Amino acid sequence: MSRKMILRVPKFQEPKRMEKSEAQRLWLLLKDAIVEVQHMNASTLSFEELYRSSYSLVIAKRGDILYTGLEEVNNHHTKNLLDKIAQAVDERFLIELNSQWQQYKLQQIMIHDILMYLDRMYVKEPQLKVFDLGMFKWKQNVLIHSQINDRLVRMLLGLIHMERNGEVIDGALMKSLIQMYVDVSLKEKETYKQEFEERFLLATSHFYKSESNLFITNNSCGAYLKKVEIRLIEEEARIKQYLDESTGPKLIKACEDELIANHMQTMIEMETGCRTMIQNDRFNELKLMYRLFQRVENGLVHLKNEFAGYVRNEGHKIVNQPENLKDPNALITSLIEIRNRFEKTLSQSFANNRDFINSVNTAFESFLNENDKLSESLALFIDKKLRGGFKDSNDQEIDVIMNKVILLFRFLSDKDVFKKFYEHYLAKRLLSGRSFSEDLERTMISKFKQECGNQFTSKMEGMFTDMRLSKDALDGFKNYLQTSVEMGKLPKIDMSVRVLTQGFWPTFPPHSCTLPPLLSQYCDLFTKYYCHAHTGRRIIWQTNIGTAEVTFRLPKKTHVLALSTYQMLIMLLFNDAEKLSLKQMAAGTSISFMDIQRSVKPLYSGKYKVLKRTPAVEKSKELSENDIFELNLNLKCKLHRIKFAATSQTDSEPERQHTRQRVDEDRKIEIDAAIVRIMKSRKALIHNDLIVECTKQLSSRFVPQTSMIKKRIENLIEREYLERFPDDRRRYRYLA
Amino acid sequence: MISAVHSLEISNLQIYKEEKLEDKFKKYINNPLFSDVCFKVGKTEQLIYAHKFVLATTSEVWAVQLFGSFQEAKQDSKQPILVPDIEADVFLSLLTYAYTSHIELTQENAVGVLYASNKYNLPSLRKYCGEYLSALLNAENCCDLLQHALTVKEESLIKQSISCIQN
Repeated sequence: MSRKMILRVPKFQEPKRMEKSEAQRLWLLLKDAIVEVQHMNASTLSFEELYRSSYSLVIAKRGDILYTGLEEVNNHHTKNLLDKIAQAVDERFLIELNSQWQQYKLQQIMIHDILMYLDRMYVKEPQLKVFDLGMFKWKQNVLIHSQINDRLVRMLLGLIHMERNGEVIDGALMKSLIQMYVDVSLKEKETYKQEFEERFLLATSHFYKSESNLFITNNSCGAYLKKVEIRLIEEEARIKQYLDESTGPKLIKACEDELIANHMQTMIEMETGCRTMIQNDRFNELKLMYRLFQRVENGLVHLKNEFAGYVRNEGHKIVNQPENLKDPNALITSLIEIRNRFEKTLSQSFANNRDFINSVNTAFESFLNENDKLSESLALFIDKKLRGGFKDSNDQEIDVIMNKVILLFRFLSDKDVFKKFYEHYLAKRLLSGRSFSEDLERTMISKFKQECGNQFTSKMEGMFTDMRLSKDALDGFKNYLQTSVEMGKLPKIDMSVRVLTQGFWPTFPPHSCTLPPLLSQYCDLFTKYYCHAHTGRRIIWQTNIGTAEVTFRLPKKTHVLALSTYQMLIMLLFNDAEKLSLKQMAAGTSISFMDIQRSVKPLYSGKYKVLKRTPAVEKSKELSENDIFELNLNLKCKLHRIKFAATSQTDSEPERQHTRQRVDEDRKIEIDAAIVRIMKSRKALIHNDLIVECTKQLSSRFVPQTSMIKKRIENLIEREYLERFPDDRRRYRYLA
Repeated sequence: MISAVHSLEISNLQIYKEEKLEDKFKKYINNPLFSDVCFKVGKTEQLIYAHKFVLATTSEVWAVQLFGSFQEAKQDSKQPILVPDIEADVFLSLLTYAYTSHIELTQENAVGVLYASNKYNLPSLRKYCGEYLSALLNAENCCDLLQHALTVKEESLIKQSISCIQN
């Protein structure tokens, strides 16, 4: 079964053991060759022969002769080189060193080529590979020798210093010599780091410390920033040109420390520094500053704080400027202006950095809530816009303004106060027919809705619904009048009524007055008609916000006067009297004296005077009960129709107070609701936690005062929604 | 004259595009055509032609020899390189391996190829030789083979021959 082949192994061609003499012969051959290589004569040598010789020695286990021999030859050679190089004077030194080094490196590659097999099969750790051995000998005998190392580093640093001062140096030479430190490092570039890098970084810090100190005292901040940027670019280029890339981050860090980190405070505070740049909108300089500060730790924090501080300060000035306090329009306009300005700074200089935006917003929040004027001013601002201020703007511009309004609104902590004012002015606009465009009204409201949800705008929307329904009701009423039997008996007047759902509209302080009989009859008719159509509803007449047109017959001319209902009542009194005192007017109309005062004022002190005071007194004098008025029959006016303001444009202080009071009332309800909501879900809670939770829940609408929450808690305990724990008075329990 | 002969030879070449690389290169083993290097090999000093490019892509030793800084890279291509430590048949087998990636081992050439593969640092060929020789191990040759294996440090052959001796 065995068909196994028989192998006849030929005898060894060479002797099994290499004779010592043969080994010696081969080594001498190789040694001569290495010396030739060191004299740059490699091209006269047969590689095949040399390789074969070294190969033979190694397979004959004579690698040791080769390796120790090589070490000696290298040792000898490098020592010779040292003398040659050390003799070179001045700049010749670097050139000589470099050219010897370049040759030496080539030689080592060739020696490695010849001894490839030795490298592969003989050399074992911790022995150095053939090429590394060459590098090590160079380092040991040449580079770190006392005659070379210090001199070399000093000259290299000297050249770099010269280059930093604007002189041109030989970059290729630098690269080669610096790379030498890397090449002779056996691991982790240790020679490079120890002998060169450390001293280089020190010299760098030193150079930039003195340069930056000098430069910043003699130049503007902007110039300094530009200088720093150029320096950093130069150093980046230096890394690429002749340094080892591992030095890059360390070098840049050293520069950043000296050029930026050490001078941040100065750059912010100096006369031409950060503050001035922000003040004067120097976007490019700020952008550069941002870019540079970004590079160092906490750099942006400094810049951000400075900017936010400036914003807060500017805002503070605007909201406290006396002129602005008087003129809501100017106030909001300037706020929108600075907002625009800072947004521009943010986008142009600070890359719209989130942190910067947030801190600007925080600043806005703080100064916008510095006084309680802002809610009302903002509402008034929009009021003016919606009364016609938008007339000359296109859709896009309107949208921009509205968005800015929303933005400011977002920063308000008492959104409920704003809401009350907004509703108040909206009601006035709708009832007096002064709204410029319903579309714009609705757009504005939809923006609030987006911002705060349905609840915020439900009443406002209800007002619009009422306006529409009122129109229907009025049409129905007119039809009713035509078919009504009673109608025949009455003289015709044109009466228009708006039915306002209680709750949607601001509650107007109730006032009573005596209407003329005819008007009174019409009112009764409407009440009858409306309550018939909508059973269960009750109508309360709000005569104080109505308007009327009255024909004013003068001897030569007839005018139509557009008046408030109260003014109409007062004017009608003059049908039966020539002169009336304010007291008499009040008695004749049952209007409060204060309303009489306010209604009469536009009639005698405006541009067109239909009443005159007798005897004539100084205008400014306060009206008293006994002041007497008569019709001004000498009225000169080209207009047929004369319009009078019901009262002054802005609200009077009592009215404002009233709005505030209503806000407070609403807040009580909101706080109650919040407390009950929280307690219902938590069952029991410690006092402080309840306050915190409650404040948190309400913060989107207003910032409740702790004292107010406390009062509400007391109130809820009284009403038996909550009770205190008997053993721990600070804890509350929810009573279902 | 010479260039004319060359162009004639070139035009007579049958070049098939579909030809496998190994078949295409096979024709150039020891072929003076396009040759840019020659060797005098073994005791018989047989002249063998080769192509630097093929050799250099096969072995780093050849690469350095033929393209490095030494004499062989600079000298005239007609001046042969002396290779006395490898016999002609083994060298030709080595060329076959270099040109085609295939080699036919025989009892006669295997030991020589083992030596050569080690010299020119061709580890996969060396391993292949080791496997080939392992299969042929017997009581008679195991001691000699162990010697050869030890010289080139071919681990698997060392192990196999030792176990053969121990048996």
